Amino acid sequence: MPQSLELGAREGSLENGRLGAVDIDGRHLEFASETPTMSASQTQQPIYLRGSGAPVFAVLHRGAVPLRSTAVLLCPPFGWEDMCCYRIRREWAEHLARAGHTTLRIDLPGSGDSAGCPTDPGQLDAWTQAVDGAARWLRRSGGAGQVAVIGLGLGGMVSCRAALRGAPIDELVMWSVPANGRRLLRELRTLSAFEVNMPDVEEPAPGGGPVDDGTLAANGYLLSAETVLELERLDLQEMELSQPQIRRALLLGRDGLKVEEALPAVLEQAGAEVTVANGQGYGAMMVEPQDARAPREVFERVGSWLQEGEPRRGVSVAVSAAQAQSAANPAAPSEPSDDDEMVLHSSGVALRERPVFLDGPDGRLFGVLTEPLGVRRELTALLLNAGPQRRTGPNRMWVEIARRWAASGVPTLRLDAARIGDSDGDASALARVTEFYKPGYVEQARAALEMLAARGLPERFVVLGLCAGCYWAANAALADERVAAVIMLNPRTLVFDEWRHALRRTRQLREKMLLASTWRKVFNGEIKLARHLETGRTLIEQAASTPMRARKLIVAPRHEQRTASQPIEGLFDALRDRDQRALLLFTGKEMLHRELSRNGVLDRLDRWPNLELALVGTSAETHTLTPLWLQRQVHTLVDQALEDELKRSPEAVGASSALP
Amino acid sequence: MTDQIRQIINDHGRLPVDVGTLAADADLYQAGMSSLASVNVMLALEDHFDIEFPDLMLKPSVFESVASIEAAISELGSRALS
Repeated sequence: MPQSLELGAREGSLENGRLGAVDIDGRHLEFASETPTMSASQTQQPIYLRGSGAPVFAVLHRGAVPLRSTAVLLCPPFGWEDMCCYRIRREWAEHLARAGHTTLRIDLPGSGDSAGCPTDPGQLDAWTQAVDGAARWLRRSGGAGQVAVIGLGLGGMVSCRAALRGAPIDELVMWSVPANGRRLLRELRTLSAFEVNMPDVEEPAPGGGPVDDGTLAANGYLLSAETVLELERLDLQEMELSQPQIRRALLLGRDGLKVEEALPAVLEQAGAEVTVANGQGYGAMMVEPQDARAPREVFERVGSWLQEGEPRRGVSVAVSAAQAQSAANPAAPSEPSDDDEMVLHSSGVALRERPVFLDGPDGRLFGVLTEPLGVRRELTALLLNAGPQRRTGPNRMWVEIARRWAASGVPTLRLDAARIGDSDGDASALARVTEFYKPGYVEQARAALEMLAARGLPERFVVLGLCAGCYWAANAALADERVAAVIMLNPRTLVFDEWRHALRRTRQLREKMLLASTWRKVFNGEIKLARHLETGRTLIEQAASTPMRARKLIVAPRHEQRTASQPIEGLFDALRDRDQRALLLFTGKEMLHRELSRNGVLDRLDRWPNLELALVGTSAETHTLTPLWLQRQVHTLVDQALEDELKRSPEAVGASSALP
Repeated sequence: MTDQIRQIINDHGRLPVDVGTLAADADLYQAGMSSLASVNVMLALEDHFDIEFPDLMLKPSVFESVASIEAAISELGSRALS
């Protein structure tokens, strides 16, 4: 047990959903059980919808009083865009809920935290059924007189398809939605072709673009060959209408681009009153998650449009003939049920997946815990965020890892740290990279380990992170000897303090100033010399002023002395001395890899037999493991690291000692 | 045409600098245009000029500078005329 901890009610009961509490370095954190609410506003509830298909993960935002008649379903765009705007959609749902609209956000099957994977057959139908089922559930459970769906990109296409096929959708907002799948695929193929950081040709073939097997990977997110074919054949104009119930539609163009000409007629033919308008702010939403900005103008426009569609007080929503017929039709899809956990299978092994919560000074943190229902090994895993990317991980890799590891008997938690994904906090603060290295994040990782232990899970941990998540993982390991192994994927830094950060930035600036290519960019206008000189001046001033005060080491306190003068090596020494193993992976052009090489640290690896260094794909910027071939290699490496740790576990050692 | 292209890149390229200050052959990716933003630029160019870039032109080199974009659009115009 870490000596710095003062434990609260460690053996807490499930009364009132409180499982336990822990104080870490003066900060109090509480663990909640399957409490169905999260966030300070207590209006959000994670659920799993179980209909005819695989379970769908959703988050319900209860509408504020006075409750409006229209409940809203938010359907995501595909892949990288989904990751970019996830936090913004959460904010949108909160905005709608405050206005009285009960709102449901879903992850489409095979994406996010929903069941399934991209290679499952029949994805297009599964997505459509998921939207249909979610709309049915909202109508019944959301206290709604009518349901409006807001769909972005692919989510909009699928929502429209569901509506045209008779889903109980009264109103539809479609933002940046093409009229046919070919146009959507064209955008994705272009995105794949434009991935400017593709590896060199001599490395394994990238997964971008339609390759021989017909799959398409766009920014790391996969569409199977079958799904590509399904989308190729999808044309909203040519769909046969099946008693659509839709009455109103709002079609929003993307940042001044025209709404596709065919779309209004599609919805009008289905009986909807159509409004076409501009949707400003789409591009500002689809950037790196920490830089994504909420499209407030669209929030207001959609809110007003929804309000216009509200029935007047005392007037109930008229049930259309189509709705009545659908309700009376025994062949109509049944309403899905909801649950606070999901049972799924991975490699034939039954797993349980459920939300978990952690309350602390930074608000409520959210995670998803995947556990084997059968045999459990004596190891528990914690997956930390890849920087600002939510708990599903880059390219949904953390979901795949969690389910695979749980199938191997290792309960695995994927956690959203504060301000990320579905955890509380002001996400805009993360635009400053130094925010990721505040002490609170390491404390959150440590608290997560305590929570897992309090749940009765094995107190021997593997912690995995990418980018800033490596810093949290490494420093959590320094503070907690129960961490048996730490897996660090492309860390930017493992030891941080403001002084060192300023020096590093200054050194980078100086190095760039010595390059002829830099000066060419200056003359071309690609680089604003004045801005960078000002940055350098500021950094030097910070570094020179009160150096002792600036040296605020943000590491576990008891290692402060050791890490002060030889930071990285001190960290490696500490891990070694406590028999904590580490996998350090660099892919592509990673700054820390260059620094460790330059400083000769990598020439002294035999000093740390507990440390394995892996270098994969060294020619390009692949920080978040975008190429499919790279993802496969990293999956293999981390699985091997887990397997090595399982072999070291006491149960394995005991078993081997029993062998004749 | 050049001014229109620059305006479109300013509106959709999400660059940290005013495209008006860049040389015509300045590398837009080096200036900060992401792959996702370049798709938005491509769509906006098609929308504005009422063109469709053929698959062969959907590659980074075509959209890497104001000059290369202008050359591509001009080529499409020439093809249309012929």
